[in-house]
Amino acid sequence: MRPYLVLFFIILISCSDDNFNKVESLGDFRVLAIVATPPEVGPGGGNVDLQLYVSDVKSGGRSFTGTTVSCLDPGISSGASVSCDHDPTRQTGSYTIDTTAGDPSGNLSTGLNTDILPVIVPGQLLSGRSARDKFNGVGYITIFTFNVDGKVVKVLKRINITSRNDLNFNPASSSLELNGAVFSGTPQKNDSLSVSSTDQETYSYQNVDNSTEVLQEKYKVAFFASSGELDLPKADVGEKSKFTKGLDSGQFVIISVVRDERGGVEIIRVP
Amino acid sequence: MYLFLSLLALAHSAFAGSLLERGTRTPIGDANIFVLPMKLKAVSNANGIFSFPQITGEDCDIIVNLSGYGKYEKSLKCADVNTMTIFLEKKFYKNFETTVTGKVNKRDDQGQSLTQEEFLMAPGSFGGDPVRAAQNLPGVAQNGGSAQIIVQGASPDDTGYLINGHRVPLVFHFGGLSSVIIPQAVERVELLPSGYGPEYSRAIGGIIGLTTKEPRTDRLHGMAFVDLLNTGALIEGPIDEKSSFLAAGRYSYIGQVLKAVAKENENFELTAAPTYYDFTTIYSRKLNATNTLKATFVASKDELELIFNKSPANDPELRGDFYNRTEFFRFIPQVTTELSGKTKMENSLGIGRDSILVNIAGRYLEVESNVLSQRSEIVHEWSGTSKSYFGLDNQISVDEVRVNLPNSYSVGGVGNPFSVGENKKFDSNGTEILLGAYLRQELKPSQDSRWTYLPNVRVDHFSTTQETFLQPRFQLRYQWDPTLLLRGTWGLYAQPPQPQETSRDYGNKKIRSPYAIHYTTGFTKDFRNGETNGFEVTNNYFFKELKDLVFPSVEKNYENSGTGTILGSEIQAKYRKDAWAGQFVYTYLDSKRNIPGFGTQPSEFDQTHNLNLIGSYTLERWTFGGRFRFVTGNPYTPITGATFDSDNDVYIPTRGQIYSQRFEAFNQLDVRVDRKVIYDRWILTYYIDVLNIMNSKNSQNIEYSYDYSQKKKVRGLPILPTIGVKGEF
Repeated sequence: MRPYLVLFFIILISCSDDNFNKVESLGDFRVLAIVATPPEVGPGGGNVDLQLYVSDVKSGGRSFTGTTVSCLDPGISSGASVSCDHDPTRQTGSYTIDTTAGDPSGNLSTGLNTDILPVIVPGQLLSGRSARDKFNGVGYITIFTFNVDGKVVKVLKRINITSRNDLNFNPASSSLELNGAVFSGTPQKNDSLSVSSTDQETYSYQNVDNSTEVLQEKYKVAFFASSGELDLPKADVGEKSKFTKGLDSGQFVIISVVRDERGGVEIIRVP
Repeated sequence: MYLFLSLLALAHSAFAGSLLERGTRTPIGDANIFVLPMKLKAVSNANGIFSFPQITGEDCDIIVNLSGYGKYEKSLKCADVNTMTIFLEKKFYKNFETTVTGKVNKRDDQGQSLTQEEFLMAPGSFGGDPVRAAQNLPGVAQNGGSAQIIVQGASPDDTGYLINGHRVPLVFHFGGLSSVIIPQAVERVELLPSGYGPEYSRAIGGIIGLTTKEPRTDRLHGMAFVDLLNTGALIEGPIDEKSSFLAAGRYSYIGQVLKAVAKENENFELTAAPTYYDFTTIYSRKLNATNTLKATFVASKDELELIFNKSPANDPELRGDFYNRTEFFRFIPQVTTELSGKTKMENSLGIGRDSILVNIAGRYLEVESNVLSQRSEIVHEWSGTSKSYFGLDNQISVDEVRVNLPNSYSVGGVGNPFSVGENKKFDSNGTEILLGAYLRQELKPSQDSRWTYLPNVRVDHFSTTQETFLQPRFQLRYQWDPTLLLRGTWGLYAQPPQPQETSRDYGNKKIRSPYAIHYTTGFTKDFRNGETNGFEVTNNYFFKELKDLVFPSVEKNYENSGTGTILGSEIQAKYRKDAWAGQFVYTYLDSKRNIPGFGTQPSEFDQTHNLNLIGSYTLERWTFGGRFRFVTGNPYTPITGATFDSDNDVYIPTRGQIYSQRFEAFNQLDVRVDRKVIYDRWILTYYIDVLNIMNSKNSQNIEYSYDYSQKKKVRGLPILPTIGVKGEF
């Protein structure tokens, strides 16, 4: 328990330095989300397409290639390092970012990258695992690594392998609103962004004491903007995030990434 | 009684009275009272009563001139006066004058203790707190405002906290500013850092023990205080000829202060101001010629609730309601029996309940424990050269635990964000039984031998791990001369794992108990030659081997994978010269841990140099005190990069070499000023205690940006004054 209390006191006394880069600010190259289609597969494995949603506002558009490696999750949620070095059957590949073409082009280099990484999730990965692992699922991870502007950008995506019959799907019915109405115009200071969504699924989850409970997805929203600042860059569905600093004049882009906390993701971009 | 004696005196004389100490009303016996110019003299008895058989003449002077007191001189018309009370003002008053501190029964030469008089005056102790004052002792680390005590480079979890010998879950209130008992109800605080005897166990690092005082029996006494953080009161006195009582309570309004400060903060709002209170009662009764009862009740509660409006950038899950409540009580009846002139027995129970609730945005930990502990000790002096102590030290706790928390894997002080850990939700009930028995022997080859051998042994059984430990602990003393004591110890110390480490659902049922082997040697040299003024020097060397340390494991949650060594030396030099007192306290430490996969590195609590310079000066009713601390900065693990976890929208930090970097050295100057005003029947004290008066910017932690690409050192306590006023009678 001590780590949580220590963490709490650190937060209490420090709570976000104003001079740090804002999490919602788009500028340097960033991966905002990875879309897996589908986000979950059955015990027999399957083919999953991974596509990166990127932002590279400052560059004005460019192309570069990074590496990929896919493997069984080494136990990241239990503290293992993000790496595939433990898995001799890991799959390696490459992935090209191009913000001059396709979706990112013309949107301040921010959008769904055109390259698709096909990942073959092997079958039989659940064999030998506990009943709880089989039910809740184990992860098959892909790590993308890029060297950009002298910095290493490393991104992780999990594909969940589960014996549950009802597999998860990506949310698809969310809408981005400005001041509670359909988004239009250019947001000003004190205007509020929010996301409405209706398709939160229910699913079963097995606890460590083997009791099973039915949970409902709670979508989480991350807002990003090419300029301006938000008071609540991470919010719940329906929760308003206010611009504490308005957008700069001229072209802008605003992104909302909706996550279902089970690997499913939906992205809305304006304009 | 006074009234009766006074009336008796009046019946047989023309002029009688009582002689009392000003402020405390303590009777002054065996003092000469003169009446001039009649040249009459009376001597006060033990109750301060005096009388003159006959005084002739009208004008007279009453004079009392007693060593240690201011001269009393008063002119009056003797013929008009039948009775009078004379108050003599002492030249020097103690801090909490209405308390008589007991003699420290010090068994362990390696241990250190502070009496009430010492800790109430300690600068930096925030109004005389005993446990904060104990941090001035050698071997105790600077803890950066934590509510835990770090002894000789061990982990805080390796320190045991005791009240009257019985284990309690915590010793500090919220934030570590104040211990859980009002200081004026504490007789002494003891620190047993290493090489301690067989009486205590289950703590491989050390023991912090608080002993409550015996209530006074002479008359009713009271004390009340108020300062910037809290207010409290104490009352004590006799009930009848055989029994006495003490009741004390304290309430902190630090939360109201914090709430006002945090009002403008957009990141969080305090819905219930953090607060704490504690309550202590002590009842003492002489049951018969051989049995004495002392029953202590201690209750403590801390509570805090707030709402995080905004999550920290690097952990979006940490948003919403935060609630923390920690409370416990102990009822500790102790019966001391004088079986004969050479045999003494003490039996005590600790009956209580511990309750902890932490709720972080819907995730929670709730622990309810009913605790019964029992201690017995029989001491027999076989001869002038042989003395034995046999004791039992048992505890049973019935626990109910409710958990709904993510996995909290952390190595090197770097853990994954809350959002990344696999959530674990379960309820668990269990019973933990800790059994202990010990035998302590004090043997001298002959009456006049300078050697004392202490071949001690302790046996502990821990039900959780089903382990039994035979722990030999040898101590050796050599009294070189009456002023120089040399000593050495060697011993084995085991402690049960932490509850979460052996949890079926959160930990590893196969975890074993960590243990340590302590080696110590040292000396104490008293240069004072029986005087009050002069030097006293204590120098200790210690080495601890730590085995089977429990560390987090990715595969098994926890493993007994760690080992460690702690090597150090400490010196305490005390000097007193009349109104001046000073201490030089220095500890050198090299505390290392080895974790498979991570290599050998300094421990999180390795503070190579720890220097305390403490001084005080008393000038009539003023006391000035100061403490300067210089401590090597704590090690920390650098973060060398981060991976964006696109599912949880969070960055997972990449550890560098663990504990390979250090914060800057810590330095802090604390000052304290006390001013007493003595009235006939009570004493008023004003005090100001300022922590970090130089406002040194000591780094205590590191804050990172959302992607760990930027960082900022978080400073510790800024200048923090507390001003208080205390009245006592």
